[in-house]
Amino acid sequence: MAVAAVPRPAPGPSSRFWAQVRRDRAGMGGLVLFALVVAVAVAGPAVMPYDPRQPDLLAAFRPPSAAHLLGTDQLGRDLFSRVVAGARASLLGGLGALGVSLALGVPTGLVAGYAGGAWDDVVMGLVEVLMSFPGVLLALLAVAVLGPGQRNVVLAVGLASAPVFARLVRGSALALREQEFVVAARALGARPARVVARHVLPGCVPPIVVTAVLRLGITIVTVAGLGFLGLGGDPANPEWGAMLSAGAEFLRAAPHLVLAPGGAILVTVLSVNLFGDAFADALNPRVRARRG
Amino acid sequence: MIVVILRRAIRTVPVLLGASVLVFLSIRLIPGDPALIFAGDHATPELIAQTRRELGLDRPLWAQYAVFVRRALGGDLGTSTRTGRPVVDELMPRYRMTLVLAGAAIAFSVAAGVPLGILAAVRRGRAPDKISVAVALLGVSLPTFLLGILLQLALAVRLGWFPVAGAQSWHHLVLPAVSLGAFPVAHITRLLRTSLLDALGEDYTRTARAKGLPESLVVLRHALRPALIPAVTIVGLQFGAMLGASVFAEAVFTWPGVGRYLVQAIAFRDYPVVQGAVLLLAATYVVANLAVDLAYAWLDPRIR
Repeated sequence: MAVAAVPRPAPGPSSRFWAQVRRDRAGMGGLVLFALVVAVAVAGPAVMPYDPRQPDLLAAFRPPSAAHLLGTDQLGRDLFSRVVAGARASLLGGLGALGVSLALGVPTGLVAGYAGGAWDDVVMGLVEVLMSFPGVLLALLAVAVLGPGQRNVVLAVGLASAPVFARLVRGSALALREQEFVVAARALGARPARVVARHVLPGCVPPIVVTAVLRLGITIVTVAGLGFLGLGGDPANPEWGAMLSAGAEFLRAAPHLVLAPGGAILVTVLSVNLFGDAFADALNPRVRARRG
Repeated sequence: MIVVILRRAIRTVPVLLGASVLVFLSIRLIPGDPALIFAGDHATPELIAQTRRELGLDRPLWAQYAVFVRRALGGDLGTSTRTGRPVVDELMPRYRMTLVLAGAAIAFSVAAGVPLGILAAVRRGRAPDKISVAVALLGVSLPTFLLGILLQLALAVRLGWFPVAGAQSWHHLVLPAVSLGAFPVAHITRLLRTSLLDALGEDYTRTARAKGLPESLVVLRHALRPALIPAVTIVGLQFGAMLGASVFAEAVFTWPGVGRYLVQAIAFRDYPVVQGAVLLLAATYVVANLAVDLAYAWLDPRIR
């Protein structure tokens, strides 16, 4: 029995998106660089030549050498090991904060946008109040309430970013609510929770992804910044922000103490911003049209 | 126009009230006796009792909030548990320093961002465009505290062109202002490039060219004006954001502003100062955003 030739399906939106991202050379460079940072963070202890917390006062302030790739700090700890250990702290910190803000912001925005009415007024009022604070200030207030410490810093930065997602998702949900497929699902008698989960939420995903990637650079920087301000708790913890502020005491004698963690922060944030921009461009129809 | 101003100004009242509720409730969320929190860990029993009376802590929460607002509006933000001085007296000189720093940073970002944006648009796709895009990306990726330390290392410690830290003269202002202003440079450059490119494609620009005007006049006199309107918004919003980010510049250069004082207060658990500083900065942010909207309405006749 002859089978009619099935035409190949047209490339879906997701493969078109990746094709677009792949064409963006700077974006791909950023992605590769970021993958490298992630690999270092994952490998962690396996690539650390020394214990990042072990002081060795006789070896303090050594410049970079074969024994200590990036030199040693004021307590003689190996800077390379500390930068590697810091990759884990900074990435987990930034991703954790992002996770907190998504977990708080997305459901709140969905409910506000889809349910509307009084819920929407309450949520949007709260979002407007939270947005009447500069983000850093909100995070500082949260740290003041929660108390210093790395975990609380991550929570605080996540809290401060949540309104961004709540507002974004609320807008998408509001637009999707009136779309025909959503109206149809409602008409078929689907329960609100099901309509939101199966039909509204998927439509909100692309803008959430782009905003999350663009936001990751900000959360990594803010977590490191609060560490820099000394709010991250135990200064013995290898964390890039805290390392930077400790090293700043010795700028004249030992600039490598700030250059090592500073370089790590710059490379990480730059890579995130590069592929974040590529993501945003690939999902922006105006840019897509211009590039053909 | 007056109606627009009034309507917009009235809308800030609930936001300010909301912000004050948030700050008030945040401090009340701290575990422990609020009387002890506001009187300090080492307060005498008399002082604790007095604080309890003054803050109305024996009354319901909404009444406590009313006391808080009434006192704040009267310029009374309580007493620092660390120094024993009124919080307002401690904050005001530092607030001036923060405003000076943020103002200088904005001036720098405009002075650098506007020419870069124009250059990028006029020389689109060529070297200046690419360089300005690269500068913008670097500006966004270098956090204030890192850029501050790098500038300190290169221009103060190594070359000795600027003082390392402190606030004794305008000379001390340069490095903190540049490190704080670098981030908005990137935004201004990108935004101005986009809006100027749009304006250069408009009919009125073609008309100006057709009149035989030299290209520099076409850009500066006809295309730039409308293109600057969105940039004004960004400048205003960034000024507000700087009130937060200045914490970092103040920490690097030991600039005696509100942000640095706030961080110290968090470390010392000096909650009256935390409360007052956050309230002051948030109120400034709201007012700055109001000013932006009004400037926007004034510049763009379509909104008027």
